Amino acid sequence: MISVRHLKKGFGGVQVLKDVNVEIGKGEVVSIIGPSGTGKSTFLRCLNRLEKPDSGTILVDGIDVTAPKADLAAVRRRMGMVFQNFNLFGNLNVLDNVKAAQCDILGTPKEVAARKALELLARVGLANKADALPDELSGGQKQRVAIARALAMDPEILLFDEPTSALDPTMVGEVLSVIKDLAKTGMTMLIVTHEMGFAREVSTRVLYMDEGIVYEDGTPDEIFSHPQKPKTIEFVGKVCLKHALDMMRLLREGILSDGRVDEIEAQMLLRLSEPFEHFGDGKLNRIAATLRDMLSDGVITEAESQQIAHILGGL
Amino acid sequence: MKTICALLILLATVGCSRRAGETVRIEGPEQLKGRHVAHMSSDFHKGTLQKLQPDVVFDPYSEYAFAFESLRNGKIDAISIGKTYAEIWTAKFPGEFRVAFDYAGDVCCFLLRKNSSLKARLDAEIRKMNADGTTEAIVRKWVEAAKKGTVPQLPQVEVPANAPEIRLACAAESEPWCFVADGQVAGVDIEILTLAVNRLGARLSPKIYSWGGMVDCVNGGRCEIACGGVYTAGNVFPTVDTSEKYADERMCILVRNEDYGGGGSGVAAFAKSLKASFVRTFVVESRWKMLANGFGITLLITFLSALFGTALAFPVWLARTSRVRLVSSCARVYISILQGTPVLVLLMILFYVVFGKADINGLWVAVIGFGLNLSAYAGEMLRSGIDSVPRGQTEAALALGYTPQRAFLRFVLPQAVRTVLPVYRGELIGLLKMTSIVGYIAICDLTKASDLVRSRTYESFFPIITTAFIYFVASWALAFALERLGRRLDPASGSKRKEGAA
Repeated sequence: MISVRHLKKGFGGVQVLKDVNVEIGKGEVVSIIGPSGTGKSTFLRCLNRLEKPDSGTILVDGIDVTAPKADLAAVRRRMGMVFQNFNLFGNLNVLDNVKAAQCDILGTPKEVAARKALELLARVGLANKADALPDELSGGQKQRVAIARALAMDPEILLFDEPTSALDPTMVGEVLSVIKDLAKTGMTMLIVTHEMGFAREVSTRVLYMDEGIVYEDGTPDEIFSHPQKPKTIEFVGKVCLKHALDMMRLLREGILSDGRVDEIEAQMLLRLSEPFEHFGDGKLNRIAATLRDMLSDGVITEAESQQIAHILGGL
Repeated sequence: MKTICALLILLATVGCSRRAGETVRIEGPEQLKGRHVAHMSSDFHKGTLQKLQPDVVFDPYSEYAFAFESLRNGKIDAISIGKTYAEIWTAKFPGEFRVAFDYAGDVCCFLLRKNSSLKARLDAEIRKMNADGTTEAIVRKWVEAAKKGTVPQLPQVEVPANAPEIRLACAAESEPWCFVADGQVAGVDIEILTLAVNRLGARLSPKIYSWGGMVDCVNGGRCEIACGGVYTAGNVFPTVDTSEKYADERMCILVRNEDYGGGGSGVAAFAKSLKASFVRTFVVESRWKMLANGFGITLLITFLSALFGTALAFPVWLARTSRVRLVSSCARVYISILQGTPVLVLLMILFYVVFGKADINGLWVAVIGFGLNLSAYAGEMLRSGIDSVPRGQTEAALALGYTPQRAFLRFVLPQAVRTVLPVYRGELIGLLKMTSIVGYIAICDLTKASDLVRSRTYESFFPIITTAFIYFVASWALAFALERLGRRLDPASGSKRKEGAA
């Protein structure tokens, strides 16, 4: 359905995408993960030509999006996009936000568009907010409206550009559950995300992007539990350890405590050190090295690092 | 703005009480020691009076009507004024004022462009009319009429269809020389010039300017002759030539008549005088018509300038945000020049320099001037308004299949307009009030009409209060209308909501 070949894109001398090659089939739910600044969003934005690629070809259903005379409007109509910052139209209420493009672009009669918009709002659980203005909604509600707006055009593909990054942690769940429901309908979706648990659960495929290319490509299990390449291991490992630390903090604050803190911590670490399994006996050294990295990056404190090392020593 | 100044002057005038210790009767220059004498900017005899009495205090005034009010209220002690005016005033307000003494001689004449070939021919005609007593009779006729409060008919002259046009710039605030009655310019100057120009086989087409403006007109080549009660002993207008004199004039000092008992007191007398003022200001010679026409002109200029300036704001914004460095720099210079220049100066430059020779109606010059000025401000407003709409909304629209133009018109512009509307509203109200300066370029707007009325009634209260009131009501109505528009654009407003919910 989407075929990307030798995609290159740079910004002012910095080559963000060096050579991206990927084939995405109909109905795939693809999570795109990777460190910041590795061009995940840029890649997504090249697909619907919000960014103009420097070179390479992108075929969507056989149509070359990068061709100079490509009918961009037609391509974009078939590819909905959900943005990090929601980008709802501030001069329209919720219903009109969902309705506008149907009427303006597709020429759908007003009543039909309104009915459809209400259906979609009901689907994202916001039918009662039809008259509200974007400014009156919470971040999570805004993002759900933005999803409804993208769905209103009946797209074949949905692009999600870090849909939960701008959200308050308490609102991440409501947006992710809407996306999960969508994934079940068999729609082709590309999701740039930092929510690893979500990516693992919802995707049929994960792309790890780094160094300006699709560095590693596989099923969620392959990428999260058995990564093969060093950068992927490093990244996934860091994410897992970070996650473990967050859990430990919660434990220590007594939120999850049921009196067996040490045991739970150990089990958790064991599970979350999965990405390092690949190193066999060198696993502990590898984890120690990753911890040092995280320490020097300021992600964790000295005390936390020692605590992890202490628990790992007991394994 | 001019109205506000005038109003302040008026308030200062009314608010001031009569000077105490006024025992010495003014009979000559000696008694003017330390006294306040009103002095017009158009009066060039300041030096002469100062030689006679070095300790005189000059209070500069822009209009006789204000000086008159001040003299009445005791804010000043005397007015330096042409004797013809003084005689008319004393006749119109019997017993209230008297001429203290004469102090200088002067002559009445016209102004012509330097080294104009017209001068010799016009001078010859004036000399002829002086010799056979025509000019003297004309002056006597208009002065007597002014004293009685009537306006004589101007002579009807036969003008051949192909007669060349001689353009006359009038400062029409100096009865009996040159003033406006029944919407037409009239007076001694007009009659003499009509006859003289007719004898030269030409057609006289007069137009009303301000005192300063008429000199610029002659200089700039917009008009051939200027008139309006010009006295000139000595070369006081160095840039223009003066014609042969058509009358002699004396400068004198007008003071309050110490023996005047006043027009009665009490509520009845006050009401009576108020009614008389009202009749003088509005009813006589249908002066309300002139004020109403002036108001129409004010509204027309405001409306057209707002239209033109707002339309021009878009190209200004485009140029300002252009990626071509040269274009955006030009726009920046354009904006800073227009924002840094008083509109009055801009109007003068446009009227007397840029369109100096072109036969263009002052109204259009005003629309261009105010429009250019507004475009600089509105362009910047537009820029800040558009910048305030997050770029992401455009991207969202593009991602839905909108073209950039359509996305701009459908989503960005409405929000930008809503953001800048309060500032824009202030700017338009400012524009409405700012148009009060167009009198300088020969447009008879509300303020100018009120000036012209004042110059006839010698009364400032009614015309100024009325003018202020009309401007206030118009500003208020404009603000109200724009407020309504703003509410329509606001999605939070009721009507839009209902439509959305339907």
